[in-house]
Amino acid sequence: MNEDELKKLWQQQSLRDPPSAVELISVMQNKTTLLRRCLDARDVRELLACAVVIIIFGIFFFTVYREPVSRVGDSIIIGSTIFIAWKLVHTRRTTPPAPPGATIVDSLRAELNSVRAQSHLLGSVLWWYLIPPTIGMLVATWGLSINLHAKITCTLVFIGIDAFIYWLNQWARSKQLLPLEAQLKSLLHWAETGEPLDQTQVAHLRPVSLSMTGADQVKLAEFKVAFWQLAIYGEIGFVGMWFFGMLAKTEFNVRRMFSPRHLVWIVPFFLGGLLYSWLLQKLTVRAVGISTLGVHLHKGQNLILWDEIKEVRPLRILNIRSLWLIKESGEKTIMPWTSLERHSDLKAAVEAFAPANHPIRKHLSLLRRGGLGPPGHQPR
Amino acid sequence: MNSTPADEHKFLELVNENRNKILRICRVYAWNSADQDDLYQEILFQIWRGLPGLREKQFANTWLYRVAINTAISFVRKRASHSSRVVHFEHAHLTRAIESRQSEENPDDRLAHLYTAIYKLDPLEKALVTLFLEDFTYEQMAEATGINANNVGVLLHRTKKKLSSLMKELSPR
Repeated sequence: MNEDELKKLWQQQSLRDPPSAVELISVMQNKTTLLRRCLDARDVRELLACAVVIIIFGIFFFTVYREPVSRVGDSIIIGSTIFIAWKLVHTRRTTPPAPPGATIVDSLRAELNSVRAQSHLLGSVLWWYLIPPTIGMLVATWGLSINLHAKITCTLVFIGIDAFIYWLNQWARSKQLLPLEAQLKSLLHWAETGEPLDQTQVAHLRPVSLSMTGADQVKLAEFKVAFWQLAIYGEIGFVGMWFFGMLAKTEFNVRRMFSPRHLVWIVPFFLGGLLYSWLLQKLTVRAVGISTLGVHLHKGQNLILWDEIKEVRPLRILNIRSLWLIKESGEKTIMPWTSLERHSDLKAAVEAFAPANHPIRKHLSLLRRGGLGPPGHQPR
Repeated sequence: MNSTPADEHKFLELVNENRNKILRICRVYAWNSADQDDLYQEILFQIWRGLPGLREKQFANTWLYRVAINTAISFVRKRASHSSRVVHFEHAHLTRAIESRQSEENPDDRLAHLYTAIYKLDPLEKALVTLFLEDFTYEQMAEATGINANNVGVLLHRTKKKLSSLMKELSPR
């Protein structure tokens, strides 16, 4: 086929009818309003979080803690919070997306700048997000007239939380932002110099829909995470909030903390934990799918093929077992296992779809007999 | 954007004139019909947002392609970033599944081969091929993409060669 034939074929192809353009006007107006609300809501959310911290530590400053050193700590926390909010909003505003009519190269460049700024934010999270408020917290804690053990415990908790947040941010940076930055740089380099693309960098830009096209061909059984699993963690978190809140309120007097006046507050926190778990379960519909192709995670957007999985190892946290799906390259992906609903269906799906002698089959014995679903319910 | 009747008229006129071009871009960048619908709506939304910035009508065509391709590349990237790992389509299972789908739907359809071959290109290569198939000159391509005019010819030549070999692989033997 020569070039002219190709162009003719292309330009004369039949296309299906999209929604009428007149209808689209109202859709566009709605989307514009929604976008504006989303952007406003994001700024409001950050400023609101800042306001909450300022109010809480402002109250501490004027009412609860009278010690001058603690008050200095409160002031540092308030100052750090204002700085954090400013830094987030400022970074976002100084790296705006390219206008809709920008050239493709300009658009990629704007996107690269934005990704670089975000990556820099996460990379330096220790200096602008963690250390300043932690210094304030430590000064406030050590300035209090409480016993030494409580001070040491608080210090260790603060450092532990900081270390966890730091690790989480660096993990997100290395897994998401750095590869994206490399891809965008590679595309820009290609456009600017004409040198061939680095295929390993752009492989991730190929749409996920392709894997989903393959997945459309096969029978898929879908499972969500059980409510009780989420509730275990949700309750630990919410009851923990009650615990630390009351600990602070009673100035680390454990006996006073368990008085009926303080214990009564555990009820709303417990209910809050249940509500949180329920909402989380609603949002994790289709947590895992099993098909003849493999295991579908992240609402079906991440497909791991059966023969890509070289090893399966259980991971136990409390009484819940998840599975590490390990590839030949050593890349590990976690998959909920004993916490999934409808164990009998899960068992049936794995038995029906996983290749014979697949390592995942060894872990079927971890599932409860009978499962949670209605008897005789078959995978979809 | 607070739209006036004149803006709405301009938007409808532009969309009606270029409906098929936009749909073709959607088919290039989104594989299944649900994604194509999402992308179509997203492109129209970006046109709607950017329309007040379009002053001169003679540049509308290039401008529209810029908006459409930028939106499509960003759409593909967003979809890809939702997944921690994207399965490479070279994998035997997937290739078989896709081939069986093609053979069921379009046994000897040259257009299907063309789309499948374009689908295997990288996002910027897709943009160049789309503009080429839409009959853009090198200057217009440079204007739409922002790629140096001298590089457009070289890059397009390489992309066409790649496309041609991909199509050869796909044609029935």
